[in-house]
Amino acid sequence: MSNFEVQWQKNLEEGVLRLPQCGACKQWNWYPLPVCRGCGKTDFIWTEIPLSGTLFSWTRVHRNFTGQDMGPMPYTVALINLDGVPGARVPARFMGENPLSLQLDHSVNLVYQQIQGKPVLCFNS
Amino acid sequence: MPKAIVSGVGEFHPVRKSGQSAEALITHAISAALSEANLGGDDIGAVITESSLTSQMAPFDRIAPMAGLNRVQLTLQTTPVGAGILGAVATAFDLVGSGKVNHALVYFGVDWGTTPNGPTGYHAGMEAKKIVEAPAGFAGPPLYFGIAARRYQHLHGLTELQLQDMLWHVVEAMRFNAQHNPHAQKQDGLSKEAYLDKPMIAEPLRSVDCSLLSDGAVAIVISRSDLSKGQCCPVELAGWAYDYEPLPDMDFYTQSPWLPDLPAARRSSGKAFAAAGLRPEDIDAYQLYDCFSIAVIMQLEALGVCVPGQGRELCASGALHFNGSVPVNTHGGLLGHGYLLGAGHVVEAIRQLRHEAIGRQVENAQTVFVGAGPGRQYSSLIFRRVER
Repeated sequence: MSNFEVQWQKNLEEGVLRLPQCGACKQWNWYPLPVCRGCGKTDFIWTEIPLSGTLFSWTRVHRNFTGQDMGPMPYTVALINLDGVPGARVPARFMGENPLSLQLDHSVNLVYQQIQGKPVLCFNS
Repeated sequence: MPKAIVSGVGEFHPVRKSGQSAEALITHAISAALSEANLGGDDIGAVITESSLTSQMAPFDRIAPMAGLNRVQLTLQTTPVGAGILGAVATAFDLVGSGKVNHALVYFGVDWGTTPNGPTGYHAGMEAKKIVEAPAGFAGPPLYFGIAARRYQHLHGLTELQLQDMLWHVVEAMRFNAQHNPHAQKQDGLSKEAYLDKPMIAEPLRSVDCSLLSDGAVAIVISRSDLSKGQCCPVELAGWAYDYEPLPDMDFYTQSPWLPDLPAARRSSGKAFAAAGLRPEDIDAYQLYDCFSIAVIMQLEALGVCVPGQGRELCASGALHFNGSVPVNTHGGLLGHGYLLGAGHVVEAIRQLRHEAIGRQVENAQTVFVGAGPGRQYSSLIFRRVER
Protein backbone atom coordinates (compact mmCIF):
# COMPACT_ATOMS: atom_id res chain seq x y z
CA MET A 1 0.00 0.00 0.00
CA SER A 2 1.20 3.53 -0.77
CA ASN A 3 1.60 5.96 2.14
CA PHE A 4 -1.38 7.89 0.70
CA GLU A 5 -3.53 4.79 1.02
CA VAL A 6 -2.21 3.95 4.50
CA GLN A 7 -2.89 7.47 5.78
CA TRP A 8 -6.37 7.65 4.25
CA GLN A 9 -7.27 4.27 5.75
CA LYS A 10 -6.17 5.61 9.15
CA ASN A 11 -8.58 8.53 8.69
CA LEU A 12 -11.43 6.14 8.03
CA GLU A 13 -10.54 3.84 10.93
CA GLU A 14 -9.99 6.61 13.50
CA GLY A 15 -12.89 8.81 12.37
CA VAL A 16 -10.69 11.86 11.83
CA LEU A 17 -9.60 13.95 8.86
CA ARG A 18 -5.85 14.42 8.40
CA LEU A 19 -4.40 15.87 5.20
CA PRO A 20 -0.75 16.06 4.15
CA GLN A 21 1.05 19.27 5.06
CA CYS A 22 4.66 19.97 4.12
CA GLY A 23 6.85 19.68 7.19
CA ALA A 24 9.16 22.42 5.88
CA CYS A 25 6.98 25.16 4.36
CA LYS A 26 3.61 24.09 5.85
CA GLN A 27 1.87 24.10 2.47
CA TRP A 28 -1.03 21.67 2.17
CA ASN A 29 -0.68 19.19 -0.69
CA TRP A 30 -4.04 17.73 -1.69
CA TYR A 31 -4.21 15.40 -3.44
CA PRO A 32 -0.79 14.22 -2.28
CA LEU A 33 2.25 14.16 -4.54
CA PRO A 34 5.69 12.90 -3.46
CA VAL A 35 7.30 16.36 -3.64
CA CYS A 36 5.86 19.53 -2.05
CA ARG A 37 4.31 21.90 -4.60
CA GLY A 38 5.50 24.84 -2.50
CA CYS A 39 9.12 24.16 -1.63
CA GLY A 40 10.21 20.88 -3.21
CA LYS A 41 10.78 19.07 0.09
CA THR A 42 9.55 15.53 0.55
CA ASP A 43 8.54 15.28 4.23
CA PHE A 44 4.84 15.53 4.92
CA ILE A 45 2.92 15.54 8.18
CA TRP A 46 -0.65 14.31 7.97
CA THR A 47 -2.25 17.03 10.09
CA GLU A 48 -5.69 16.91 11.65
CA ILE A 49 -8.31 19.43 10.47
CA PRO A 50 -11.93 20.01 11.52
CA LEU A 51 -14.65 17.80 10.07
CA SER A 52 -16.42 20.76 8.49
CA GLY A 53 -16.65 22.61 5.22
CA THR A 54 -18.96 24.13 2.65
CA LEU A 55 -20.95 22.44 -0.09
CA PHE A 56 -19.27 22.92 -3.48
CA SER A 57 -21.68 20.81 -5.57
CA TRP A 58 -23.55 17.51 -5.57
CA THR A 59 -25.05 14.88 -7.83
CA ARG A 60 -27.63 12.16 -7.23
CA VAL A 61 -26.18 8.99 -8.72
CA HIS A 62 -28.45 6.51 -10.48
CA ARG A 63 -25.77 4.29 -11.98
CA ASN A 64 -23.02 3.00 -9.75
CA PHE A 65 -19.62 3.17 -11.49
CA THR A 66 -17.54 2.38 -8.38
CA GLY A 67 -17.46 -1.39 -8.75
CA GLN A 68 -18.29 -1.49 -5.01
CA ASP A 69 -21.55 -1.95 -3.11
CA MET A 70 -22.89 1.53 -2.40
CA GLY A 71 -26.17 0.43 -0.82
CA PRO A 72 -29.60 1.51 -2.06
CA MET A 73 -29.75 3.44 -5.35
CA PRO A 74 -29.93 6.26 -6.14
CA TYR A 75 -27.60 7.93 -3.67
CA THR A 76 -26.31 11.49 -3.43
CA VAL A 77 -22.63 12.36 -3.27
CA ALA A 78 -21.16 15.85 -2.97
CA LEU A 79 -17.84 17.64 -3.06
CA ILE A 80 -17.07 19.55 0.13
CA ASN A 81 -14.65 22.48 0.35
CA LEU A 82 -12.80 21.80 3.61
CA ASP A 83 -12.67 24.58 6.19
CA GLY A 84 -9.20 23.57 7.41
CA VAL A 85 -7.42 23.52 4.04
CA PRO A 86 -8.24 26.28 1.57
CA GLY A 87 -8.89 24.83 -1.89
CA ALA A 88 -9.01 21.17 -0.81
CA ARG A 89 -12.15 19.15 -1.51
CA VAL A 90 -13.32 15.70 -0.45
CA PRO A 91 -16.29 13.65 -1.63
CA ALA A 92 -18.96 12.97 0.99
CA ARG A 93 -22.31 11.18 0.97
CA PHE A 94 -25.49 13.13 1.71
CA MET A 95 -27.62 11.25 4.24
CA GLY A 96 -30.73 13.44 4.02
CA GLU A 97 -33.82 12.78 1.95
CA ASN A 98 -34.00 15.51 -0.65
CA PRO A 99 -30.79 16.84 -2.21
CA LEU A 100 -32.76 19.52 -4.08
CA SER A 101 -33.10 21.29 -0.73
CA LEU A 102 -29.29 21.61 -0.46
CA GLN A 103 -27.77 25.07 -0.77
CA LEU A 104 -24.38 25.36 -2.43
CA ASP A 105 -21.68 27.23 -0.50
CA HIS A 106 -23.50 26.66 2.80
CA SER A 107 -21.72 25.11 5.79
CA VAL A 108 -21.81 21.36 6.40
CA ASN A 109 -20.55 19.17 9.22
CA LEU A 110 -18.91 15.91 8.23
CA VAL A 111 -19.28 12.63 10.11
CA TYR A 112 -18.18 9.10 9.37
CA GLN A 113 -21.06 6.68 8.96
CA GLN A 114 -21.08 3.00 8.13
CA ILE A 115 -22.30 2.32 4.58
CA GLN A 116 -22.43 -1.35 3.65
CA GLY A 117 -20.13 -2.05 6.60
CA LYS A 118 -17.47 0.54 5.73
CA PRO A 119 -16.85 4.01 7.18
CA VAL A 120 -17.64 6.78 4.68
CA LEU A 121 -17.52 10.58 5.08
CA CYS A 122 -21.10 11.83 5.21
CA PHE A 123 -23.08 14.98 5.89
CA ASN A 124 -26.67 15.77 6.67
CA SER A 125 -27.40 19.31 5.50
CA MET B 1 9.03 27.02 -45.89
CA PRO B 2 6.90 24.23 -47.38
CA LYS B 3 3.19 24.39 -46.80
CA ALA B 4 1.40 21.49 -45.09
CA ILE B 5 -2.07 20.34 -46.07
CA VAL B 6 -4.38 17.40 -45.48
CA SER B 7 -3.89 15.04 -48.43
CA GLY B 8 -5.92 12.04 -47.29
CA VAL B 9 -8.48 10.95 -44.72
CA GLY B 10 -9.64 7.44 -43.88
CA GLU B 11 -12.28 6.24 -41.49
CA PHE B 12 -13.86 3.20 -40.00
CA HIS B 13 -17.16 4.87 -39.15
CA PRO B 14 -18.16 4.44 -35.51
CA VAL B 15 -20.49 1.61 -34.56
CA ARG B 16 -21.64 0.39 -31.16
CA LYS B 17 -19.92 -2.98 -31.64
CA SER B 18 -17.77 -3.92 -34.60
CA GLY B 19 -16.59 -7.29 -33.34
CA GLN B 20 -13.11 -6.23 -34.47
CA SER B 21 -10.04 -4.98 -32.64
CA ALA B 22 -8.99 -1.34 -32.64
CA GLU B 23 -5.88 -2.44 -34.56
CA ALA B 24 -7.95 -3.90 -37.37
CA LEU B 25 -10.12 -0.78 -37.57
CA ILE B 26 -7.05 1.47 -37.61
CA THR B 27 -5.36 -0.57 -40.34
CA HIS B 28 -8.51 -0.21 -42.44
CA ALA B 29 -8.55 3.58 -41.86
CA ILE B 30 -4.84 3.96 -42.74
CA SER B 31 -5.34 2.05 -45.96
CA ALA B 32 -8.25 4.32 -46.89
CA ALA B 33 -6.30 7.49 -46.02
CA LEU B 34 -3.24 6.41 -48.05
CA SER B 35 -5.49 5.52 -50.96
CA GLU B 36 -7.18 8.94 -50.89
CA ALA B 37 -3.75 10.61 -50.71
CA ASN B 38 -2.50 8.47 -53.63
CA LEU B 39 0.46 7.40 -51.50
CA GLY B 40 1.93 4.10 -50.35
CA GLY B 41 3.02 3.13 -46.86
CA ASP B 42 6.64 3.70 -47.89
CA ASP B 43 5.93 7.40 -48.49
CA ILE B 44 5.12 8.07 -44.82
CA GLY B 45 8.07 9.67 -43.00
CA ALA B 46 6.53 10.29 -39.59
CA VAL B 47 3.76 8.77 -37.48
CA ILE B 48 2.23 10.74 -34.62
CA THR B 49 -0.31 9.36 -32.16
CA GLU B 50 -1.81 10.22 -28.77
CA SER B 51 0.10 8.52 -25.99
CA SER B 52 -2.09 6.78 -23.44
CA LEU B 53 -4.75 4.72 -25.23
CA THR B 54 -2.98 4.21 -28.55
CA SER B 55 0.19 2.89 -26.93
CA GLN B 56 -1.98 0.21 -25.30
CA MET B 57 -4.56 -0.55 -28.00
CA ALA B 58 -2.64 0.01 -31.24
CA PRO B 59 1.10 0.59 -30.73
CA PHE B 60 3.15 1.53 -33.79
CA ASP B 61 5.28 -1.64 -33.72
CA ARG B 62 2.16 -3.72 -34.42
CA ILE B 63 0.45 -1.27 -36.79
CA ALA B 64 3.56 -0.81 -38.99
CA PRO B 65 3.61 -4.34 -40.51
CA MET B 66 -0.17 -4.43 -40.90
CA ALA B 67 -0.35 -1.04 -42.62
CA GLY B 68 2.86 -1.41 -44.66
CA LEU B 69 4.69 1.45 -42.94
CA ASN B 70 8.30 0.49 -43.68
CA ARG B 71 10.24 3.75 -43.99
CA VAL B 72 9.14 5.87 -41.08
CA GLN B 73 11.99 8.03 -39.75
CA LEU B 74 10.21 9.44 -36.73
CA THR B 75 7.46 8.35 -34.36
CA LEU B 76 6.03 10.72 -31.77
CA GLN B 77 3.45 10.42 -29.02
CA THR B 78 1.58 13.43 -27.71
CA THR B 79 -0.34 14.14 -24.52
CA PRO B 80 -3.10 11.67 -23.52
CA VAL B 81 -6.56 11.32 -25.08
CA GLY B 82 -8.60 14.04 -26.83
CA ALA B 83 -6.17 16.95 -26.50
CA GLY B 84 -3.44 14.56 -27.66
CA ILE B 85 -5.30 13.34 -30.74
CA LEU B 86 -5.69 16.95 -31.83
CA GLY B 87 -2.10 17.66 -30.79
CA ALA B 88 -0.93 14.75 -32.96
CA VAL B 89 -2.66 16.23 -36.02
CA ALA B 90 -1.19 19.66 -35.31
CA THR B 91 2.29 18.20 -34.76
CA ALA B 92 2.02 16.41 -38.12
CA PHE B 93 1.35 19.80 -39.74
CA ASP B 94 4.34 21.28 -37.90
CA LEU B 95 6.69 18.45 -38.93
CA VAL B 96 5.69 18.63 -42.59
CA GLY B 97 5.59 22.43 -42.54
CA SER B 98 9.13 22.59 -41.18
CA GLY B 99 10.42 20.35 -43.97
CA LYS B 100 11.36 17.52 -41.62
CA VAL B 101 9.30 14.97 -43.56
CA ASN B 102 7.24 15.04 -46.76
CA HIS B 103 4.27 13.05 -45.53
CA ALA B 104 3.13 12.38 -41.96
CA LEU B 105 0.43 10.04 -40.69
CA VAL B 106 -1.81 10.36 -37.64
CA TYR B 107 -4.02 7.50 -36.56
CA PHE B 108 -6.43 6.83 -33.73
CA GLY B 109 -8.87 4.03 -33.05
CA VAL B 110 -10.86 2.69 -30.17
CA ASP B 111 -12.80 -0.48 -29.40
CA TRP B 112 -14.56 0.71 -26.26
CA GLY B 113 -17.84 -0.36 -27.84
CA THR B 114 -16.69 -3.98 -27.69
CA THR B 115 -14.29 -4.10 -24.73
CA PRO B 116 -15.42 -3.53 -21.13
CA ASN B 117 -14.26 -0.69 -18.82
CA GLY B 118 -13.79 2.02 -21.44
CA PRO B 119 -13.61 5.59 -20.14
CA THR B 120 -14.69 4.61 -16.61
CA GLY B 121 -11.82 2.14 -16.38
CA TYR B 122 -9.39 4.74 -17.72
CA HIS B 123 -10.22 7.13 -14.86
CA ALA B 124 -10.61 4.43 -12.19
CA GLY B 125 -6.91 3.58 -12.35
CA MET B 126 -5.81 6.97 -11.01
CA GLU B 127 -4.51 6.90 -7.42
CA ALA B 128 -6.75 9.43 -5.63
CA LYS B 129 -9.81 8.11 -7.43
CA LYS B 130 -9.11 4.61 -6.12
CA ILE B 131 -8.19 5.62 -2.58
CA VAL B 132 -10.48 8.56 -1.75
CA GLU B 133 -13.21 8.94 -4.34
CA ALA B 134 -14.59 5.52 -5.33
CA PRO B 135 -15.06 4.29 -1.71
CA ALA B 136 -17.23 7.38 -1.10
CA GLY B 137 -19.34 6.59 -4.17
CA PHE B 138 -17.69 9.19 -6.37
CA ALA B 139 -16.61 7.46 -9.58
CA GLY B 140 -17.18 7.73 -13.32
CA PRO B 141 -16.96 10.67 -15.71
CA PRO B 142 -20.75 11.35 -15.60
CA LEU B 143 -20.33 12.39 -11.95
CA TYR B 144 -17.54 14.83 -12.79
CA PHE B 145 -19.74 16.64 -15.26
CA GLY B 146 -22.92 16.24 -13.19
CA ILE B 147 -21.11 18.11 -10.40
CA ALA B 148 -19.92 20.75 -12.88
CA ALA B 149 -23.46 21.19 -14.25
CA ARG B 150 -24.90 21.68 -10.76
CA ARG B 151 -22.20 24.25 -9.96
CA TYR B 152 -22.89 26.02 -13.27
CA GLN B 153 -26.59 26.18 -12.37
CA HIS B 154 -25.72 27.75 -9.02
CA LEU B 155 -23.32 30.33 -10.45
CA HIS B 156 -25.74 31.49 -13.12
CA GLY B 157 -28.93 31.24 -11.08
CA LEU B 158 -30.74 28.73 -13.29
CA THR B 159 -33.86 26.97 -12.06
CA GLU B 160 -34.11 23.16 -12.30
CA LEU B 161 -36.27 23.54 -15.40
CA GLN B 162 -33.91 26.03 -17.03
CA LEU B 163 -30.96 23.69 -16.44
CA GLN B 164 -32.90 20.76 -17.87
CA ASP B 165 -33.97 22.81 -20.88
CA MET B 166 -30.40 23.96 -21.59
CA LEU B 167 -29.02 20.41 -21.51
CA TRP B 168 -31.81 19.14 -23.74
CA HIS B 169 -31.12 21.85 -26.32
CA VAL B 170 -27.49 20.72 -26.54
CA VAL B 171 -28.38 17.05 -26.93
CA GLU B 172 -31.18 17.88 -29.38
CA ALA B 173 -28.74 19.82 -31.58
CA MET B 174 -26.14 17.03 -31.59
CA ARG B 175 -28.82 14.48 -32.45
CA PHE B 176 -30.28 16.76 -35.15
CA ASN B 177 -26.86 17.03 -36.77
CA ALA B 178 -26.32 13.27 -36.44
CA GLN B 179 -29.66 12.68 -38.12
CA HIS B 180 -28.28 14.45 -41.20
CA ASN B 181 -25.08 12.37 -41.22
CA PRO B 182 -25.57 8.87 -42.64
CA HIS B 183 -22.44 7.67 -40.79
CA ALA B 184 -23.62 8.71 -37.32
CA GLN B 185 -24.50 6.04 -34.77
CA LYS B 186 -27.71 7.86 -33.81
CA GLN B 187 -30.07 8.39 -36.73
CA ASP B 188 -33.10 9.63 -34.80
CA GLY B 189 -33.72 13.06 -33.31
CA LEU B 190 -34.64 13.63 -29.69
CA SER B 191 -37.84 15.44 -28.65
CA LYS B 192 -38.08 17.08 -25.24
CA GLU B 193 -40.56 14.39 -24.17
CA ALA B 194 -38.24 11.59 -25.27
CA TYR B 195 -35.34 13.31 -23.47
CA LEU B 196 -37.25 13.49 -20.19
CA ASP B 197 -38.07 9.78 -20.48
CA LYS B 198 -34.38 8.81 -20.59
CA PRO B 199 -32.91 7.39 -17.39
CA MET B 200 -30.82 9.58 -15.11
CA ILE B 201 -27.16 8.60 -14.74
CA ALA B 202 -25.74 11.32 -12.48
CA GLU B 203 -28.15 14.22 -12.03
CA PRO B 204 -28.76 16.39 -13.91
CA LEU B 205 -27.24 14.19 -16.65
CA ARG B 206 -29.36 11.52 -18.32
CA SER B 207 -28.12 8.66 -20.47
CA VAL B 208 -28.41 10.80 -23.62
CA ASP B 209 -26.35 13.62 -22.02
CA CYS B 210 -23.41 11.17 -21.94
CA SER B 211 -21.12 10.22 -24.78
CA LEU B 212 -21.94 7.16 -26.85
CA LEU B 213 -19.64 4.13 -26.70
CA SER B 214 -18.11 3.11 -29.99
CA ASP B 215 -15.70 1.10 -32.05
CA GLY B 216 -14.13 3.16 -34.81
CA ALA B 217 -10.93 4.56 -36.27
CA VAL B 218 -9.51 7.52 -38.14
CA ALA B 219 -6.33 8.09 -40.12
CA ILE B 220 -5.16 11.40 -41.58
CA VAL B 221 -2.25 12.04 -43.94
CA ILE B 222 -0.58 15.45 -43.90
CA SER B 223 1.61 16.26 -46.92
CA ARG B 224 3.76 19.03 -48.33
CA SER B 225 1.38 20.82 -50.67
CA ASP B 226 3.92 20.71 -53.54
CA LEU B 227 4.29 16.92 -53.13
CA SER B 228 0.63 16.11 -52.45
CA LYS B 229 -1.04 13.76 -54.90
CA GLY B 230 -4.42 13.99 -53.20
CA GLN B 231 -7.35 15.01 -55.38
CA CYS B 232 -9.50 16.57 -52.66
CA CYS B 233 -9.58 20.28 -51.90
CA PRO B 234 -6.61 21.04 -49.62
CA VAL B 235 -7.15 22.00 -46.00
CA GLU B 236 -4.47 23.79 -43.96
CA LEU B 237 -3.99 24.50 -40.28
CA ALA B 238 -4.35 28.25 -39.78
CA GLY B 239 -3.30 28.15 -36.13
CA TRP B 240 -3.21 25.91 -33.09
CA ALA B 241 -2.28 25.89 -29.42
CA TYR B 242 -2.21 23.59 -26.42
CA ASP B 243 -2.56 24.65 -22.81
CA TYR B 244 -3.01 22.97 -19.43
CA GLU B 245 -3.24 23.48 -15.70
CA PRO B 246 -0.34 22.38 -13.50
CA LEU B 247 -2.63 19.83 -11.85
CA PRO B 248 -2.40 16.04 -12.02
CA ASP B 249 -5.11 14.43 -14.15
CA MET B 250 -6.48 12.74 -11.04
CA ASP B 251 -7.12 16.15 -9.40
CA PHE B 252 -8.95 18.18 -12.01
CA TYR B 253 -12.60 17.15 -11.73
CA THR B 254 -12.67 17.32 -7.94
CA GLN B 255 -9.93 19.80 -6.99
CA SER B 256 -9.82 22.40 -9.79
CA PRO B 257 -10.39 25.82 -8.20
CA TRP B 258 -11.96 27.06 -11.43
CA LEU B 259 -14.75 24.52 -12.02
CA PRO B 260 -16.97 24.78 -13.99
CA ASP B 261 -14.70 27.15 -15.93
CA LEU B 262 -12.08 25.68 -18.25
CA PRO B 263 -9.11 28.06 -18.13
CA ALA B 264 -6.91 25.79 -20.26
CA ALA B 265 -9.55 25.92 -23.00
CA ARG B 266 -9.80 29.70 -22.57
CA ARG B 267 -6.04 30.18 -22.97
CA SER B 268 -5.40 27.63 -25.71
CA SER B 269 -8.24 28.92 -27.87
CA GLY B 270 -7.09 32.51 -27.34
CA LYS B 271 -3.62 31.60 -28.56
CA ALA B 272 -4.99 29.63 -31.53
CA PHE B 273 -7.23 32.53 -32.58
CA ALA B 274 -4.27 34.91 -32.34
CA ALA B 275 -2.05 32.56 -34.37
CA ALA B 276 -4.70 32.32 -37.08
CA GLY B 277 -5.48 36.04 -37.01
CA LEU B 278 -9.15 35.23 -36.44
CA ARG B 279 -11.82 35.90 -33.83
CA PRO B 280 -14.55 33.55 -32.59
CA GLU B 281 -17.16 35.26 -34.79
CA ASP B 282 -15.06 34.50 -37.90
CA ILE B 283 -15.41 30.73 -37.44
CA ASP B 284 -17.92 28.94 -39.67
CA ALA B 285 -18.30 25.81 -37.49
CA TYR B 286 -17.05 24.46 -34.17
CA GLN B 287 -16.25 20.81 -33.44
CA LEU B 288 -16.07 20.56 -29.63
CA TYR B 289 -15.41 17.57 -27.38
CA ASP B 290 -18.96 16.85 -26.23
CA CYS B 291 -18.28 14.03 -23.77
CA PHE B 292 -21.31 15.39 -21.89
CA SER B 293 -23.94 17.94 -22.90
CA ILE B 294 -22.80 20.44 -20.25
CA ALA B 295 -19.23 20.26 -21.64
CA VAL B 296 -20.44 21.98 -24.83
CA ILE B 297 -21.76 24.93 -22.81
CA MET B 298 -18.55 25.11 -20.76
CA GLN B 299 -16.45 25.20 -23.93
CA LEU B 300 -18.58 27.72 -25.84
CA GLU B 301 -18.18 30.08 -22.89
CA ALA B 302 -14.46 29.39 -22.38
CA LEU B 303 -13.78 29.93 -26.10
CA GLY B 304 -15.52 33.30 -26.08
CA VAL B 305 -18.27 32.22 -28.47
CA CYS B 306 -20.65 33.60 -25.85
CA VAL B 307 -20.12 35.19 -22.46
CA PRO B 308 -20.35 33.00 -19.33
CA GLY B 309 -23.98 32.35 -18.48
CA GLN B 310 -25.26 32.96 -22.01
CA GLY B 311 -24.78 29.40 -23.28
CA ARG B 312 -28.39 28.63 -22.45
CA GLU B 313 -29.82 31.35 -24.67
CA LEU B 314 -27.41 30.49 -27.49
CA CYS B 315 -28.45 26.82 -27.50
CA ALA B 316 -32.14 27.59 -27.17
CA SER B 317 -31.97 29.68 -30.36
CA GLY B 318 -31.09 26.61 -32.42
CA ALA B 319 -27.66 28.07 -33.14
CA LEU B 320 -25.85 24.74 -32.73
CA HIS B 321 -27.66 23.05 -35.64
CA PHE B 322 -25.50 22.60 -38.74
CA ASN B 323 -27.67 25.23 -40.42
CA GLY B 324 -27.74 27.51 -37.36
CA SER B 325 -25.76 30.64 -36.54
CA VAL B 326 -22.97 28.82 -34.61
CA PRO B 327 -22.87 25.26 -35.98
CA VAL B 328 -21.40 22.86 -33.41
CA ASN B 329 -20.47 19.23 -34.03
CA THR B 330 -21.97 19.11 -37.48
CA HIS B 331 -21.37 15.33 -37.66
CA GLY B 332 -23.29 14.76 -34.43
CA GLY B 333 -20.32 14.71 -32.06
CA LEU B 334 -19.67 12.21 -29.32
CA LEU B 335 -23.36 12.38 -28.38
CA GLY B 336 -24.71 11.53 -31.82
CA HIS B 337 -21.96 10.41 -34.20
CA GLY B 338 -19.72 8.22 -32.03
CA TYR B 339 -17.08 8.24 -29.33
CA LEU B 340 -13.83 8.63 -31.23
CA LEU B 341 -12.46 11.04 -28.60
CA GLY B 342 -12.11 13.99 -30.96
CA ALA B 343 -10.66 12.15 -33.97
CA GLY B 344 -14.09 12.24 -35.59
CA HIS B 345 -14.28 15.97 -34.89
CA VAL B 346 -11.06 16.56 -36.87
CA VAL B 347 -12.32 14.52 -39.82
CA GLU B 348 -15.60 16.44 -39.80
CA ALA B 349 -13.72 19.75 -39.90
CA ILE B 350 -11.84 18.52 -42.98
CA ARG B 351 -15.02 17.28 -44.69
CA GLN B 352 -16.80 20.59 -44.01
CA LEU B 353 -13.89 22.56 -45.47
CA ARG B 354 -13.71 20.32 -48.54
CA HIS B 355 -17.47 20.97 -48.91
CA GLU B 356 -18.17 17.25 -48.96
CA ALA B 357 -20.33 17.02 -45.81
CA ILE B 358 -23.35 15.92 -47.78
CA GLY B 359 -26.66 16.48 -46.01
CA ARG B 360 -25.13 18.63 -43.26
CA GLN B 361 -22.82 21.01 -45.14
CA VAL B 362 -22.29 24.42 -43.55
CA GLU B 363 -22.74 26.80 -46.46
CA ASN B 364 -19.42 27.97 -47.92
CA ALA B 365 -17.42 26.89 -44.83
CA GLN B 366 -13.94 28.49 -44.87
CA THR B 367 -12.70 28.07 -41.28
CA VAL B 368 -13.52 25.41 -38.67
CA PHE B 369 -12.41 25.32 -35.04
CA VAL B 370 -11.75 21.95 -33.36
CA GLY B 371 -11.25 21.74 -29.60
CA ALA B 372 -10.73 18.81 -27.23
CA GLY B 373 -9.68 17.98 -23.73
CA PRO B 374 -12.21 19.76 -21.60
CA GLY B 375 -10.52 19.57 -18.23
CA ARG B 376 -6.91 19.85 -17.15
CA GLN B 377 -5.72 20.36 -20.71
CA TYR B 378 -7.06 21.59 -24.05
CA SER B 379 -5.96 21.66 -27.69
CA SER B 380 -7.41 24.23 -30.09
CA LEU B 381 -6.97 23.77 -33.85
CA ILE B 382 -8.29 26.15 -36.52
CA PHE B 383 -8.48 24.64 -40.00
CA ARG B 384 -8.86 26.65 -43.20
CA ARG B 385 -9.93 25.75 -46.73
CA VAL B 386 -7.29 26.41 -49.41
CA GLU B 387 -8.87 27.34 -52.73
CA ARG B 388 -7.15 25.83 -55.76
